[in-house]
Amino acid sequence: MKRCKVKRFSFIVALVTMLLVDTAVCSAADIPQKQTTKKLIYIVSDLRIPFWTIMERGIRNRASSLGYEVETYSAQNSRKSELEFTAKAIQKNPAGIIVSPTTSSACKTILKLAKAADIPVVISDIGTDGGEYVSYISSDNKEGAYGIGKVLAKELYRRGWENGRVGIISIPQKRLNGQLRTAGFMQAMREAGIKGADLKQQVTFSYDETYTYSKELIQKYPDLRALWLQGSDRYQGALDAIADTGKKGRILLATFDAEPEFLELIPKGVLVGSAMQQPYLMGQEAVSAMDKYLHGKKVEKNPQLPILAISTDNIKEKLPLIKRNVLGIERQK
Amino acid sequence: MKLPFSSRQSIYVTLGIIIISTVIVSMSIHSIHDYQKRKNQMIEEMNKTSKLTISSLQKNVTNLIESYAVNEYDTLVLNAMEPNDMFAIVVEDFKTGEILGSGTYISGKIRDTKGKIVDFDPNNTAQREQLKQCYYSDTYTLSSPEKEKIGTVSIYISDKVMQAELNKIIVESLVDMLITSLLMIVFLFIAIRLFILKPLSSMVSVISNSDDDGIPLSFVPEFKAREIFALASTMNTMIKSIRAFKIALLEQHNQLRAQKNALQYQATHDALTGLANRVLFSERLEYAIEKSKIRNMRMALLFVDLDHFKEINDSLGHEAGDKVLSIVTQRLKHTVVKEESLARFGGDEFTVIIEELQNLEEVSLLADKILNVLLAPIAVNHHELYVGCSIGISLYPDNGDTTQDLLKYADAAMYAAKNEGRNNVRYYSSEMTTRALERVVMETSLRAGLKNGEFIVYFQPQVNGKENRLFGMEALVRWNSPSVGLVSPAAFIPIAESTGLIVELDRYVMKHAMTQIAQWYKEGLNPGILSMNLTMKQLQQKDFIEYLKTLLAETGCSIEWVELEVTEDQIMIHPDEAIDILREISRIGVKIAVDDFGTGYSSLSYLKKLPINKLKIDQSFVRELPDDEEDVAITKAIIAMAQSLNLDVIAEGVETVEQKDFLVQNGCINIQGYFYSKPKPADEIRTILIEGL
Repeated sequence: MKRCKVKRFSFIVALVTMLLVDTAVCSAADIPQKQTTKKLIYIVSDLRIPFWTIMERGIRNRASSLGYEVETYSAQNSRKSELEFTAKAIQKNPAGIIVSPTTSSACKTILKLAKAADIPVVISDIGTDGGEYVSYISSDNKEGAYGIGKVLAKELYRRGWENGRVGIISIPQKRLNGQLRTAGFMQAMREAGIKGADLKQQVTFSYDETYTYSKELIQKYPDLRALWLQGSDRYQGALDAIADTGKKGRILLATFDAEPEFLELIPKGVLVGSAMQQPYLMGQEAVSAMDKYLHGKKVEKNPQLPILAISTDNIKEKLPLIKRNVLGIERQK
Repeated sequence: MKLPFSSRQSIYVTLGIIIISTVIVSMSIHSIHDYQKRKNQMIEEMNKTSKLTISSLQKNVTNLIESYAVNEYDTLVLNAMEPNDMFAIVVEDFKTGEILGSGTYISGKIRDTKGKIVDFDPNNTAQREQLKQCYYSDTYTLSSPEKEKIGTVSIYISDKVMQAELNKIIVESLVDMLITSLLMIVFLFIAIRLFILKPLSSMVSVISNSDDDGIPLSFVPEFKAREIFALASTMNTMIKSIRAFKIALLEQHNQLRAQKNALQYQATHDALTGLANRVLFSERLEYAIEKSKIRNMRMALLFVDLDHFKEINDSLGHEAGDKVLSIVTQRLKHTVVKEESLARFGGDEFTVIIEELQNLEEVSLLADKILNVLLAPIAVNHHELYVGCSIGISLYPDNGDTTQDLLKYADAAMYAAKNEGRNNVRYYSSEMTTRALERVVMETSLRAGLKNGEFIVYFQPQVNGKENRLFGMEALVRWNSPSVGLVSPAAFIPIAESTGLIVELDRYVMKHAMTQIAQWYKEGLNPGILSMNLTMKQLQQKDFIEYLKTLLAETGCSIEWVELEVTEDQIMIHPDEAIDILREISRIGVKIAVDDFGTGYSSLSYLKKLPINKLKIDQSFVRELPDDEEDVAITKAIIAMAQSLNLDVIAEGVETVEQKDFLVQNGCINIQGYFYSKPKPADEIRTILIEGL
């Protein structure tokens, strides 16, 4: 009799347990998959741009280490595509969205849509004009530009070209990062007492555009002694313009951001230097921030990662950092 | 029932009510109008703004929608929301919606309850409800250049802001209105007080300060404001008019009083002499009698009648007569102590009342003084006139105690004095009454006698005393009244003269006498010259000469047979006039004799001028001849004068031979009197003519 009671009790306990477990499993099944699938979606403006590609690698790297799946949508610099990908991302109901928007304005819309879907968003570079986000990972554009400005000024002084002017081919100044970069650089120029020539804002970011702007500046300002490109990928346009105008070796070129070949160009002196963002690191930090958020931890709202002001002087020293954080060259396992 | 003054509402209060009401109503209307205007302006502006907003939004949002720049057009919308009247702008983005798989992406901005601009959530029921309740909304389609509908933009305008603004306007208007109204009311009150009430009060104050007749003592102040000035000016004009009217009224009153007094005076005083007239005299007499009764004292009434006044009036005219009366009055005033006791009773009659009579000597003394003072000649128009008077006196209580009695008796006494030769004073005696009555009877009888032909002409021969030859006769009238009997000329002649019947009587005598003379001549008898007594009154008649001529023609009497006798005293009443008249009569051939010469006051100068032929010595001078030395002297003088003036002279009243002889011896051979014959009727004279004296 006693045994029957024990058996019965055990059965009931087991049944209840099963029910509970089943309920838990069902509940877990009902809960959005963000908790279970740990998917992150990265919406990026344009993967054709190495910067974003490197950033994506950083994201994937950190996501992988933290157990997230990452899906990347590249908008190809199209607002429409960006929106479409945003809608798509929302539909997928990821655990979080990391966005490197086409513009800070577009970012606001993305944030709004994501918020409506209750999906947390971490912004990785560019920024936003508003809206709610988990964290905004950015580079200290101003400090970075200031740094490369100092490098350029130092070189100009070294060459005795301190009386020359410096022209700027900038990214759109309506962008905050553009404004910051210009502000930091001009601060360095002011401090060095070096006059600015002109500033031309890039629109297409094409080689031709870079070449044309460079040539115009060189022709317009005979005392032009340096060009600073606020981007990096169309550096050749600038170099060609310098060469074509017969100013090779007489006009310095500095950039912002980096290309792999800078590792050679800088030491060679083809480029004076470059303010290098660390997109890989930014990507990693974006994921880390999202992860912290998802785990209910406190997240820094607007961390600014340092920009490496690399010149001939420190390129060797910073090479590992450059390789990984700037260029996204991952170590082979 | 009239309201008492204190219960009457002040015009200040009335004006105040009007002002306050008017100001409040005006300001209210203004405020309402202003509110409405501003509201309309706001609505208009709102519509304009919304249209402008839409206009700019449409284009820009379209472009941004096409660029999928959601945030950009969201920013545009936010910027478009800035004007406060924009409640919400909602964009329907079909393109983004299409991407998002919802058909339309709705975004926009809306104001929360605090007016803060927040994102529009299409799923927010409250927000959608708010949109429905908006004052104004409009939706505009957004189309791509290819005319594809890519979205809409809707604007919502709430009236909350407008209402808040309007409420603010209302409050501000109310405050403004209250302040402005208050200021206006205060100002108007002050202005009314200063410019209307104060002047009115001043006017009332001035008007209140009036005299016993209610006429303001001073003029109303004339303030500058035209209407007040006009009122004050008009009131002052009225005051002036009233004062002038009052003065005029007063003057008129005074005039009327003066006129009344004058009338009264005229009613009681004689216009010519200024003396009390009969009416006043009667009152005074009555009063004097009463006073005398009370005091038990005597009083006397003197009735003074001027002698020969009628002759003066008739001969020289009323103007001269008035002057005589004036002079007489002055003399009487000087003579009578108390002027108020003197009165002009009428015509040429004066009365004097003497009160508190102590004795009769007072009366006699006064009467004599009057007689004397009036005897003196009166010079009027270069004439020296002799008037004289007859005075009758009655006494209270001796003769009567009523005004009628005293008057009657004084009058009777006066007539007695007249009858007794004039220039006389007589106290009343009872027989005077009889005589007065007789006189009245006489007058009546006289008239009847003339009418009935009761008068007879007697003739008294005039004889040459030397030759004892009849050379003429004087016609004398006798009256054989069937009622009275034979009446002496002395009785009826004065009455005839005083009544004016003498004219008719004289003509009666003239006619009969001249008829008789002519008859005698016709019979072959020689009656001589017919002398007829005529008064100056007769001679003064304008038709006398014509009458004489006619009578001469009718009777057949020749002008040479006629002699007219005029008494000296009659001539001397108006000597100049007498001269003219007598000259005229003399021109037709009539002889003129001065009768009763020596009894008048003729001056030699006048005597020279008179066209007379004969002087007739008055019988009063003959009566005592030849014994009375004075009469002898006078008679001789008269004879001598007549001779010197180449005038005939005849004496009348000769009754004795001694008188006749004296006269004849002294050159007056013409004799008339009882010595030769009494006056006799015609038949007896005829006998004398036939048989001789």
